[in-house]
Amino acid sequence: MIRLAFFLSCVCSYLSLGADPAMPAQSAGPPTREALTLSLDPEEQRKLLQIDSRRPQEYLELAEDLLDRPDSQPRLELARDLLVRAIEYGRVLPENRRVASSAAAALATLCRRPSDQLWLRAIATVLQPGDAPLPQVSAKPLANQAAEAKASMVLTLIRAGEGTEVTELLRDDAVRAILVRHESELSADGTLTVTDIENEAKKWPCPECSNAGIITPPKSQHAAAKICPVCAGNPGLKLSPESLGAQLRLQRRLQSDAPESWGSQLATQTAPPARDPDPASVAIVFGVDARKSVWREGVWISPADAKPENP
Amino acid sequence: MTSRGVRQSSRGRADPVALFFGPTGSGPFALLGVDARPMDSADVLEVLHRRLDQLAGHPQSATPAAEEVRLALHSAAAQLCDPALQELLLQQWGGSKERPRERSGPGTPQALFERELHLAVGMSGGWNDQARLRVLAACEARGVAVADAVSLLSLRSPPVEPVRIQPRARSRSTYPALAAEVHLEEAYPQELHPEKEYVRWDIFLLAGFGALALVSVIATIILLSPSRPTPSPAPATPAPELGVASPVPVSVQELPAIPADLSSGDARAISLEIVGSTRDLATDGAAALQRFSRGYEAFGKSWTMMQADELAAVVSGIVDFAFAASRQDIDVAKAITAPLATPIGDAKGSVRTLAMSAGIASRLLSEADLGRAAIQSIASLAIIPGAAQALDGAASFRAGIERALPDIAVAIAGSSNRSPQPWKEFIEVRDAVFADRTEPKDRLTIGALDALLHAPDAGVAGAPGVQVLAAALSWQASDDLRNAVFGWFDDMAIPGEAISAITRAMVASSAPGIDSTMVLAPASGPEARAAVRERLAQVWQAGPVRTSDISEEWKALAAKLLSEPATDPKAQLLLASRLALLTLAGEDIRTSKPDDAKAALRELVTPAASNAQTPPPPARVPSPGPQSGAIDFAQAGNSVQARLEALKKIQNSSLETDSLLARMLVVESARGSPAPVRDAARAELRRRIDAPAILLATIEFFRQLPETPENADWVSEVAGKPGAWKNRPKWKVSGLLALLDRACERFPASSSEASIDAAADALGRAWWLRAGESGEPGSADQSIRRLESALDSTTRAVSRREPGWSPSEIRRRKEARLSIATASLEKAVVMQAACVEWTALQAMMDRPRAGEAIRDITREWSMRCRTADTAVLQLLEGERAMLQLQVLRLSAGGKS
Repeated sequence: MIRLAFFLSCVCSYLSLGADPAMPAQSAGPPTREALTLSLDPEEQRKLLQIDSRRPQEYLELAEDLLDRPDSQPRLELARDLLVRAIEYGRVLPENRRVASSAAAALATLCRRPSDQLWLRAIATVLQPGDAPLPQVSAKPLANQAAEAKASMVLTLIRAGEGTEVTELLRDDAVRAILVRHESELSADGTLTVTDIENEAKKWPCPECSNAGIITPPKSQHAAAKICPVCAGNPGLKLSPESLGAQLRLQRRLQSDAPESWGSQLATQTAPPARDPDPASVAIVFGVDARKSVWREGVWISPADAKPENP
Repeated sequence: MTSRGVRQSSRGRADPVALFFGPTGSGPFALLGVDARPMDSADVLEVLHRRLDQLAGHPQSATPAAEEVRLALHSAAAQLCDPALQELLLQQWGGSKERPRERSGPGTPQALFERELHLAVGMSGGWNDQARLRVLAACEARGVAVADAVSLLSLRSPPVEPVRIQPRARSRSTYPALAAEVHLEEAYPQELHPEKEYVRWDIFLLAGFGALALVSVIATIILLSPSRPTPSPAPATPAPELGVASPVPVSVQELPAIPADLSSGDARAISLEIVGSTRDLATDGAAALQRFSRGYEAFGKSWTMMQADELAAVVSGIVDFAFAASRQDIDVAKAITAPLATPIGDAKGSVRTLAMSAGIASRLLSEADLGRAAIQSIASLAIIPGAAQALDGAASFRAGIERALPDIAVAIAGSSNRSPQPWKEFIEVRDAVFADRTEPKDRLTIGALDALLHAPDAGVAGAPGVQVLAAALSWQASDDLRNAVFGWFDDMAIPGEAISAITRAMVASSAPGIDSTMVLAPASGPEARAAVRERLAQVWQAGPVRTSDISEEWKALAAKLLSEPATDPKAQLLLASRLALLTLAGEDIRTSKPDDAKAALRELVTPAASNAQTPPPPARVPSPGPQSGAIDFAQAGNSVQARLEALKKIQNSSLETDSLLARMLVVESARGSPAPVRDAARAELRRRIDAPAILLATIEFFRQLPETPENADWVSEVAGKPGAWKNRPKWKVSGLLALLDRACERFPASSSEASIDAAADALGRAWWLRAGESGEPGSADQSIRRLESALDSTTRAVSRREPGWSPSEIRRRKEARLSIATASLEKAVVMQAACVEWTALQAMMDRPRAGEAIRDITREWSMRCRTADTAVLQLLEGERAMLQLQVLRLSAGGKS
């Protein structure tokens, strides 16, 4: 496992090739026979032909070997398949659950999305109760909290027509990144972008009334005050009631972790279905047919179809 | 208790030894703070006192942890005072092979006495009944006040003044069991010298074997117990210090190193055998394993008769052996689990041994440091015959047995042996494990009865076993008992002989309301059964609910609601709330609360949730027009009078609060000048406090708002929640949150939001009621947490073990799911999932034979949750699953 941990750091830099649990393996297609033949050394090929679902440890160990040299996509994809099978075959018997747990932890590092990593790490913990603490969603650092408050302020200011300040705040990369991350929550239909806000900011303050909303002529003119003809007394970004509601909810989320109503969460699609860290679902999510446990001629086949292989 | 024992018993918390002494190594030498080297008794007592002093000086010396360490120190000292044990321990802990240096004699009488006391405590495994007995005996023999002896032991305080040993006549009345011992010797003839204390140790013979009366026999057993200081017949040797004859000090040194006969179940003999086998591992693994198996087998047959401390000592020895064997790659799994593979027969001790093996295997499986190979080897063999799953790790020997007992009951019921003997031992094991915990004892016994009653030959052949189990029930009326007994009466597949045996035991129990006319003859027909059942129902005030009208109505409604579709989130939540209410009504029916059930059903017919309030229209902010009051105010310029007049005009008008007017009122309320203008603006703002434009304007202007108490006042009114924050000097952060909260209420993100929230409240209320809470319900998030907590508490004492369904596994899954949930709705789904699992576990307890049907329900639920595209749909599936489980619990006969 130490060896695995070391090389996983190398793998992390290779994340562009990493698997996505939400995306079944079929979509990428299995590694071709030729590509694999080129990427596996003779010893790895020998092990691959001899692995047996009754010994899930072998799948994990071979995956570790492959991840020692994560220099090609076929190797990574095969490692992923091996890890999924190690979980599937290891989760059933108590004596093999540690193997399954290690495989899940390794698989987590191959995933791109933090939520998938968290899910697999939770599975690793479920498989091995009592050892590692459960993964936790980390608390926000203070710097992040400050940036989130500023991001919330951007939304208030753009509605009030304070374009200059909005432009200034959006120069802060942290603020901008937060708004980009929450772009789908900027409006009810998710179409408003940070660029749109930036463009809107350029229009304000109102060139006619400087956001006062009223044109007041000098007393000497003895003329009556009137609503600004440019901004109609209402400077700033115009939003539909639903989009205003969506923005206010985003501001609240950015300002506080306090729970919000279910209706609000559903309306802004910020409460996805809960995921179950069920080890039995890993193979399904990764699209791995666990009944096929034997590797022959570049493909996984069921043991019943396999002839004994002499390395 | 060994030092290892202290550490093992402290899993999951700080090592108490390290707390008081800092990091130490393992073993008795390290615990006493010395290197592993030969020591005589005086050395041992010296280091013991040093350690006790150190402990007494610690600020936490009065805590239970200190007490635990204190006892471990005594135990370690007692082990080292025994030369035979010390030799073994020296080999184990790698000490030098030098012979212990001899001191000039047995020491002062006080030292000898003190050592005797420490031995008494240590060899008893701590300050317990046995230790008290031994100390009492020693005091009796020496004529010392017990209080002085206790002080001398420093059990609760630092060392005290030396005890003066006073001569006094022996008495037989102090302790009956000692009488037989004491009568062998009479009063000490010697007078103690005033300056030089000295004890005359009488020489006496062992008590007169079979000629003594029963009391004498019992006392003799105590006397002959190897762990007890036994008077030696050796001639007295002079005490050099005193120059007079002194008795030979009584200690275990005179006892044989390893008692030959293990069959008596002597704890110390078994301990020595196991410790010896650990030592032998270094030289001959096979012989060591053989020797271990001898001790292990003897332990299996006798553990139920051991004191808790003796038990702990032997278990600790076994764990040590397993560790030592693992280090040498010797597989102990077969030896440990051998009894699990042995068919349950008539042989005495077979169930006792089986349970012991399960307890030890579970205990070892919890030792992560034992090594993967050893754990895997044990796990692969640790399966009780007929059980679906291997044993799990358990923090203690007893906990392991507790978990295994339901499977053991099934194994006995499934065996071909119909003798009552295994059941008698089962009850003996049950009592040893659960002590006086009546509820889990009854639950386990009901489960065992259920298994036996459904065995193929439960009739005439099984009746003796049924009789044993039924007689072991407390017959205290409980839901579990009612449901089980009524189920047995209703199930005509259960033979009359078995039901007859149950009624005989019930009558013999003299439970309230039960009389001899309730005994059912073995050949009774269905009518007689129904009549007795009816009488029992009256006695237990539990009507035959499954045939009542209310139950039928409930079932019909359940069938209807379970098939009712719901497409949008609001409808799904409303349906979920109705399902939850129906589950609650089912629970009321099940627990014989017909009135409550009727009330819940009434609520279902006209559910509060269906009165879903029409959501208020979304807030609207009027655009400013030429009539806006803000124009007049702007026109007033800097004239205070004109501005006041403009404000007065606004007050007298019925103009809408447009965004421009709202902004003017907010700005002037916050920092208007002079004060009369500010006050007038605030008054007008308060008049229009509910206007959405005021709320939005306050949010927009908030960053420029002076943080004054006056501003906090009106801002809190705009926010609609006079929170405590408004009285704080720095109130703006909380104030902004309150304003955003209010704005979220006023400006929904979708037209269905308010109705979804209303439906969520309805579901929350149903959960609140199911949790047994009264008063105003909290939010749905709070309610589901309460419900989960209530179900967890109700199911805490579960002893039945289903694969993947132990309480700890359910909690573990809940924690794992929670760890990846972020939104509160997701978390509610997680808590509800735990509720489904608790309900499933309760159903398994109620209907042990419906396990497969219950698993089908949970599998289906799990699959539907996995494919659900919203959290609300997951909630609906959870409620459906819980209602299905409730239907199963209330189904006819309860058997599937």
